[in-house]
Amino acid sequence: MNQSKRTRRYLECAGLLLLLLSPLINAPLARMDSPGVYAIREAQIMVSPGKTIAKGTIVIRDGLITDVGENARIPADARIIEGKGLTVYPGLIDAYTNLGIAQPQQQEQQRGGGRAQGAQLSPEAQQSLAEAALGDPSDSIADDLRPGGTAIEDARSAGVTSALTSPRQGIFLGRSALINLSNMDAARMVVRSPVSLTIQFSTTSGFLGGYPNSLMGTVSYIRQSFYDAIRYSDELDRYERIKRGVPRPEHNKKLAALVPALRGELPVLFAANTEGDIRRALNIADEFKLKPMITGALYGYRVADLLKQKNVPVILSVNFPRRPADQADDDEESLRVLRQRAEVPKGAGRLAQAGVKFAFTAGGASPRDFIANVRRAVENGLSKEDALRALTVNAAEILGASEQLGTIETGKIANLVLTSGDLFAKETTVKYVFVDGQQFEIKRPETPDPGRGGARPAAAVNPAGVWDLNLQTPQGEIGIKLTITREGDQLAGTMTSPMGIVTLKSVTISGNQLRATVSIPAGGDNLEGTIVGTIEGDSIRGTMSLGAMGSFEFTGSRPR
Amino acid sequence: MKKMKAITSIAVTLALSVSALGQSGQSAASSETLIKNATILTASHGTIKNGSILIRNGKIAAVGVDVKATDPNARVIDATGKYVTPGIIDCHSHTASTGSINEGSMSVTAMVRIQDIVEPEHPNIYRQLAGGLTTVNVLHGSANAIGGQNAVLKLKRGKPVNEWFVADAPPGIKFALGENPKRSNFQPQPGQQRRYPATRMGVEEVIREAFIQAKEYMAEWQEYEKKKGTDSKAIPPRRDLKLDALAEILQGKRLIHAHCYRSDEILMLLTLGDELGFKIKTLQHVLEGYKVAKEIAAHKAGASTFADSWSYKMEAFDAIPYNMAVMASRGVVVTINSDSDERARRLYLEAPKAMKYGGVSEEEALKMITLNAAIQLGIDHRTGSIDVGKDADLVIFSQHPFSVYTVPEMTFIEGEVYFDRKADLEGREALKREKEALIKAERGQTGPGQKKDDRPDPNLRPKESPKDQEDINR
Amino acid sequence: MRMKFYTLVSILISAAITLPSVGAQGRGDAIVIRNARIFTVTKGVIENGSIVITGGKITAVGASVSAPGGARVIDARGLSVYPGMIDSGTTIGLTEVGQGAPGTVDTSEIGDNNANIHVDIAVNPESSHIGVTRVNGTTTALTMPRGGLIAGQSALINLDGWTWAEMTLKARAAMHINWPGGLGGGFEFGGGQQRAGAELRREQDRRIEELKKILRDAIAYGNAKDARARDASLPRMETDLRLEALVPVARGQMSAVIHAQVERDIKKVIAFADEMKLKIIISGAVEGWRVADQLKAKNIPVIIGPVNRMPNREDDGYDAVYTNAAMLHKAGVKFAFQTMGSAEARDLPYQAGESAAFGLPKEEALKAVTIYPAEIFGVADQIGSIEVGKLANLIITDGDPLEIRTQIKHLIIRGRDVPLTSRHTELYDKYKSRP
Repeated sequence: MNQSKRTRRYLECAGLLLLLLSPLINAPLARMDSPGVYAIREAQIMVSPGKTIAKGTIVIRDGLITDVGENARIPADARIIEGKGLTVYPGLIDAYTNLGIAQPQQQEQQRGGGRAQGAQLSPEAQQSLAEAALGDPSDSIADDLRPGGTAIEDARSAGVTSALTSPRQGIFLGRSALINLSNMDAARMVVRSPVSLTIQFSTTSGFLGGYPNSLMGTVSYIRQSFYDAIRYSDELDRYERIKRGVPRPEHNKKLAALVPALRGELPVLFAANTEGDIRRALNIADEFKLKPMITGALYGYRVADLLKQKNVPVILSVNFPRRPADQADDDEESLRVLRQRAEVPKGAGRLAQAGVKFAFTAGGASPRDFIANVRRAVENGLSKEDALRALTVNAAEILGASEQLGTIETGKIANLVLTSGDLFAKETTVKYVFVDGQQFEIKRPETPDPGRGGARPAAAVNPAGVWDLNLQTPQGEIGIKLTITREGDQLAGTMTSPMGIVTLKSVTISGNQLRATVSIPAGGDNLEGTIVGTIEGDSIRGTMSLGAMGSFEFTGSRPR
Repeated sequence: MKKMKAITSIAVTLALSVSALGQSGQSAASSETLIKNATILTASHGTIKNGSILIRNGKIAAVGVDVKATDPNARVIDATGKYVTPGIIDCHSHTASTGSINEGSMSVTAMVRIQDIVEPEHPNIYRQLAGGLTTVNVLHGSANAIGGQNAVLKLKRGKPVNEWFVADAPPGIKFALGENPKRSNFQPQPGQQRRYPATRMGVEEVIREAFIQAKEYMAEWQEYEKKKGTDSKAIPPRRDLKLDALAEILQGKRLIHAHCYRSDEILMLLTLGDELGFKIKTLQHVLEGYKVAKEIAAHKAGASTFADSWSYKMEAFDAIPYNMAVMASRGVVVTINSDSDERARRLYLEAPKAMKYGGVSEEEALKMITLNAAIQLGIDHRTGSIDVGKDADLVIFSQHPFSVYTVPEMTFIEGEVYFDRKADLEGREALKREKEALIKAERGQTGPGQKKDDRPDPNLRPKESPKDQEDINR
Repeated sequence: MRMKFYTLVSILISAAITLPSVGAQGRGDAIVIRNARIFTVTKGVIENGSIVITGGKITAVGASVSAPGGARVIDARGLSVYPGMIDSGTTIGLTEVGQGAPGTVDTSEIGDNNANIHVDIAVNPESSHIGVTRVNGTTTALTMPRGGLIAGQSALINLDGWTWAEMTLKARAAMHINWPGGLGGGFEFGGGQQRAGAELRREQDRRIEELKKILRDAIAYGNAKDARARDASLPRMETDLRLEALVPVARGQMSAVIHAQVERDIKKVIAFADEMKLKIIISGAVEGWRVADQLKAKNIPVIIGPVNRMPNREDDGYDAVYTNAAMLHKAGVKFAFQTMGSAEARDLPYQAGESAAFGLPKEEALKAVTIYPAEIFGVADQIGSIEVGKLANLIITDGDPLEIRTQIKHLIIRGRDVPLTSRHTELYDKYKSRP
């Protein structure tokens, strides 16, 4: 008796402590190694698509759901969440993201031996960039998760509790991982790894002339890689079989990483939005008898029957094409583009109708738009039940975690979203999110996003001058010079880089935010770059995105 | 909102059905179509005045003056006063492709395939159909001594792309000689190495080396085939996609389409082929072919050239429009190609230049954009002329196809109409209305991100953090 | 002695133009063309007529004419005579090999304002392009500079002569301005619609303002010079060659050819010309048909071409470029054709022909390569039709010169019966007889 009373008092204290600390809950110090015990009571529970408990209780202990039902018993040691008026959904899954991907780190930058001299990259740096553009199938994101930043928190605040994550750069994107969007250390976030070998049809963009710099080259590169893996596997088998008198195969982790995919043990996830890319992916899958999955698939509805016939799971992007913001009224758009914009949001409904199994991905759009975009799919013909299925059960199944995730059932991971009502209603807000049984409060943006029309009336700084920027790439720093001139309120400039000198396509300043766009001729194609930086006095820091090469951070200064 | 949507969807349905009629392949209700009372330029057996063509199941069932439909429901097209030619074939095209047509990173890229980048949505496809074009040889670019593999397509706009490939066309490959593979007109980026080769001698050696590698590769496979089953140590050699393609050339299974200009390099390739045991199927551009027409004819290589382009670079400075006539007179199978979506839609006005410059006959000139092209691509058993049994790939012209005043009116591929000028003109208003309706509907919409430019990247390369995404796209 | 500075200049220029030209070989000889079907272009068709050429000019045309004794007779039975064709935009004589031989290319000067350069003095009379072009029936071409915002001054040249001076029909024919921006309206498949973002629009407006300022400066400069010519006590002023060259343009005395393609740009050009009171010709104008009524209202002539290009917008009719001329004609706009090239210039007649296939009346197509360009460039008193007193720039053909299969039988430029040979026929003759 005494014992239990003491425990309760202790827990109450802990609860108080937790409450006090809640503003800091995202700070590493507040990480809870032993999650609490919770009971959500009198809530509407969406157990699984089509199965609802009008008023029931969910009990959570040690990160798992331990009881669900109208009459589930609330343990004495549970903290109570009043669920009256709230709806509990299984935690939502964004089935393709780049969450938790490392930014280039300082040590790596230094590895290249400091800043590249002048406008030249060393042959080693070139080689290294070309290799990065190819990617490495043996990379495992689960081994290299770098949580941090606000991206995970933003996603979680939108009700996303799990995500498949994959690196961003390269043709072979390595092995993806399913992670829970908690704030625990990286190792404890991983739910399942590897989930897939991931491939995208990117090129070296002609960057430094490396192969492949064309789409058809990329397809050939992927195919040759699999043929090389077949040969490697044959060599390994022979060596295993005979050992004496046969050549010893080299140790090749890249080829070895393709073997499970060839054996059908590891699905291959192709990032493919267009009909063409999807067909390319399925052709490769056929040639090597892979188990393909498609992510993106914005135009997948055009090949819905093919996807169904081949039973290919789809991770459907809801980042639907939109009218560009700076499109002027007299800039005509083609009927083809207008039709696409009208048709693409109907894609989810069409895939459902064709019987294709699909989950959703925000497709790189803001997490706050994720559910709103799913709602658009619902407005365009997808049933709410199918939408919920895609966000939960289907995602869990496609990602191989249906025993752990996707429904609100005893024994599953306590990933839950508590909303003010119907998830797909416009006015609904997310109230609480549980990840691995840990409760998160929802942060709401207090100020309108500056990107959404809330332009700050701050006086613009003068960006004119010569800026020396250090671009931080995984291959080391690259020196870039930005020369910006100002005439009245007109800005112009040039960029000097290892790729030569080019005129900036545009330069704008808003407050202390500098933005410049540039088109760099590279092997017959243009590499489109965007530089966004924040100026403080004579120093600047920001990001440069370079087409398919990815985004790189930079710091720099303006010597006076 | 809802009402607007309903209106839009009606407009869309309406417009789509109109556009389907006007702008894409459609099958007639009957399996037969009769084109009657036309002047038929057969390209194989002269001109038939007041003739008719019966199309059945996509094939030419009958041609002549006394041809009648057997099906009373057959579609009948009265072509009185009009001219019919075979569908035009372009032996050198880069149309209907996406991404770069050059894998320019290496001098030998025999492994890359145009078939992997066929893009059926490009607006130029329809524009070319409107110029009577039905079949194209889509080639890799000319950056490399040995480029990638080609694709022979029929422009079946509106059909799934896998139906576009001419299934029984022998596979081919692009070679290139002269200025382009030696990159003499290209500036390397700062810090970038110049690519080997930089001379015409180097080009020859690159090709020689590639074929020697291919021969060794073939020997390796033959060795394996012998040992397989008896030698437990035998495992299949590494499959090399580049050498596979070159081996197919040596086995006579893959046709070479070689970009070339100067007579020296033309002769070099023919000689090298004789030495190493490969044949050149076509010389592309071959602007100095007239200087070595005899040698080209002896090798039995075809020549696919421009009618009158010249002097756009040094190696095109000796180009003359009499090239077609000279080569034809020496027995070379000559075609006129486009190398451009724009020129491809008026090849029927390029062919008469062979008559003007050097006096080629009308039928021979027509062959240069039809039957000869089919021969060069190895598809003359099924297209290229108006003969019974061939695919009904046809064009109806308002006047003689070689008159500057002619207008292509209908284009058929395998009996189906892919271009119909009348339907096109009638459908324009509906397309305009559809467009207006779509714009109106879209402007009325609100939703997440309507103000933003975050068009999805076709390759889906999401940015690290949503914040970045917003910054970048603002 | 109180003559205005610019009056003096223009007198000098016109004197240079009308200097008695020493004829090329045979230029002085009299020629009579007999039994021809004569398409005068301006005065109907004369069946079975004759043309007398003396001193490089047409001295008689008609069903029955009297020829001077000793005149060489060309029997044109079964043949037709047309005025030589005029290409309203080329780089003939300024370029030989497009790529890989920059030493042979003189089209684009460095810098934004090249108003002072004039191409007539850089025309290479030995260029192989001249022979190749004229044997297909073009006898006169506007050859023009291409570089910068203000590219410089074009020249009308006859495609025959020992020197550029002999070839020149009108030096300083027009000032060429490349309209800044050239924005929007087009599309790139896959790359999305080509858009004129706010920044690009601002940039364009900035450049247009720049152009206006230069023209205003030219006016001020011209006025100051005139004032000083009247009053020598005014301080001496520095000569600015560029502004000097622009004075007649800014005063509306010299035509400005403004190169602009799309609807938005053409509208801006029209407003610009209105504001600056310029005499302009619009070149390119692939979307001229969209603004045909405005062009008509301001009586702005248009130089179309090349016609062999793709429609500008994805949703344009597939035939939009081919029908451009017909629509301009319907609206009453004056227009001519150009090839915008040099190697391509021999195909000028087909641009007109293809436009006729898509709705332009055939007679209009012919006029747009003969009399209309002569009118647009102010040389209709010299070329463009078969009339007494005009230069004898003629072609004798076996048919419609716009038809591809038609052969040119005689080519007469300023009275000289020019041999129908070119670098191409020479190479042909050489290799055709290779054993």
